[in-house]
Amino acid sequence: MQVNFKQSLFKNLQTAIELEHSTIPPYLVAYFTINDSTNAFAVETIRSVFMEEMLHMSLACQILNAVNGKPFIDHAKFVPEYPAELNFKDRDFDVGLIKFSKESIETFMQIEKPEDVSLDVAGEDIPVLVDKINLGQSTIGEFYAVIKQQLIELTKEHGEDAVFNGDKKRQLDPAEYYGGGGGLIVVDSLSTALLAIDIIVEQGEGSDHSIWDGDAACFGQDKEVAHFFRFKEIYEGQLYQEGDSPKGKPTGPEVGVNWNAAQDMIDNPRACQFPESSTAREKADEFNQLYSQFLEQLHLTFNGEPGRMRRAVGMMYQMKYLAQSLLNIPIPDKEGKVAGPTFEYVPVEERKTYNWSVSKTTDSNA
Amino acid sequence: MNKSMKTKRLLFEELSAVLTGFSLADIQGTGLSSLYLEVFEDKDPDAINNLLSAFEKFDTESGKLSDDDLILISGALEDKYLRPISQQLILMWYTGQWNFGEPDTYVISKEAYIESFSFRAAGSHPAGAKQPGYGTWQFPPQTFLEE
Repeated sequence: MQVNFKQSLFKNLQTAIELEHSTIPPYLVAYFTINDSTNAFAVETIRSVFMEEMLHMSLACQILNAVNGKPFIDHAKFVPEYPAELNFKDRDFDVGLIKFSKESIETFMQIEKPEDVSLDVAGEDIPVLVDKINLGQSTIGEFYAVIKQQLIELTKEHGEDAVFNGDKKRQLDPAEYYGGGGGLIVVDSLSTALLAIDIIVEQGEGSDHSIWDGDAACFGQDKEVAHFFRFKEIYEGQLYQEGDSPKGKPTGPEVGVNWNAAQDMIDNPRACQFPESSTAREKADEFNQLYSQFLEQLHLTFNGEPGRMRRAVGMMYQMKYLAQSLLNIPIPDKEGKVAGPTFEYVPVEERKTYNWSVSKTTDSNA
Repeated sequence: MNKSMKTKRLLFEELSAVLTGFSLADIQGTGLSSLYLEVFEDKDPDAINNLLSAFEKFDTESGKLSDDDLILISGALEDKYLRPISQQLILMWYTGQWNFGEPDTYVISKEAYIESFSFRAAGSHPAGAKQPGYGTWQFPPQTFLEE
């Protein structure tokens, strides 16, 4: 069998999709556990970051579709088991589902740290779906630079039409993507693919080694600091201002952060930890069903049925409300501790018929 | 769980599940049971204590009742003293309001409005909160888990 000249590009883009996704559940857990009436700054900041991670994941899907690849989303290997170990070039650490705390924000800073970042685990098995996220010995920024280089070189070698030969009907209409950080773009050429990567890298790491992200230039937004520095602002309880250095602490106005105003969720909850007939188990199972069926809708959205995005968005809202319910449910025999969303993959054959307004089972033809 | 170990709050939650038709997990998931119990204890402690002790006689397991229990509870709800407080309890969960023995009704809290079961029963959502997402109205209304 002839190896597709894009095989390596496909794999890197699938890795990008999985990398962007893997950070979202930990950020969501921190966000859901915050008591927002007392921590408005932390709530808004974490929200702004995970919305952008969702955008990055969608942009990576758009690029993969543009080059005629197929994003894998509804798959057991797509969902990390938390705490997930990340092996970076210069440090190893676990990323877990942990309530809002100084510890969780420290971990988020580790994830987003602009320099010397690599995720190092090997992949195989299914050609396009990566087994583990593997950036080799590169930082996230360098990893995206490699994808950029691949796109440029393949275009030079094979021509733009041969590289960007994906079905345009597989692109998600930016109008269907709302409430996210920045805007989605249609990718159908080298220049739009490179722009998509610039958006990802600049929001995440900042542009040109500064603390500021690229949104002022890309989306006409107010100046905003990149992800690592946003977490640093929460951590220090102080904003960056013009003239601050990426290596130093923020020196702008102080912001209030109340580390105690968080729901006391157990660390890294798993549904199987909760007794079989407990209310925590009932809701955790329901959440995992919803999460997995959401991944299914997202998979279909980026595999030729972009109209599915509306259901996927509806399911994301439902997941939020279910997660908030879980955080009100006490855990038997763990005084004062509450359950939380566990983000576990339910195989297709174990999915149940729920009548969420947006589930596939209630409306399979639309 | 041993019945004597059961906290008053859990008993109140189980009673609420039986009277509203929502699951115990749904009741706990609102995060409102402590507040609602406090409101009752503040407004009419005797009535809520009488209702809870009437309910405590039945052998409930996670809010699930046998047919015999249901017949006995229906009987209790015919009781002229227990009926009004039971009605208030149901109204509270469905509307988030207090409207028992007061000249005016009032919404108990912001969360009470947002979590009120009438929206879920209707497959709808509270205006200004819990938005369902653009275009989701094209799908059938949300209903409940099929057993």
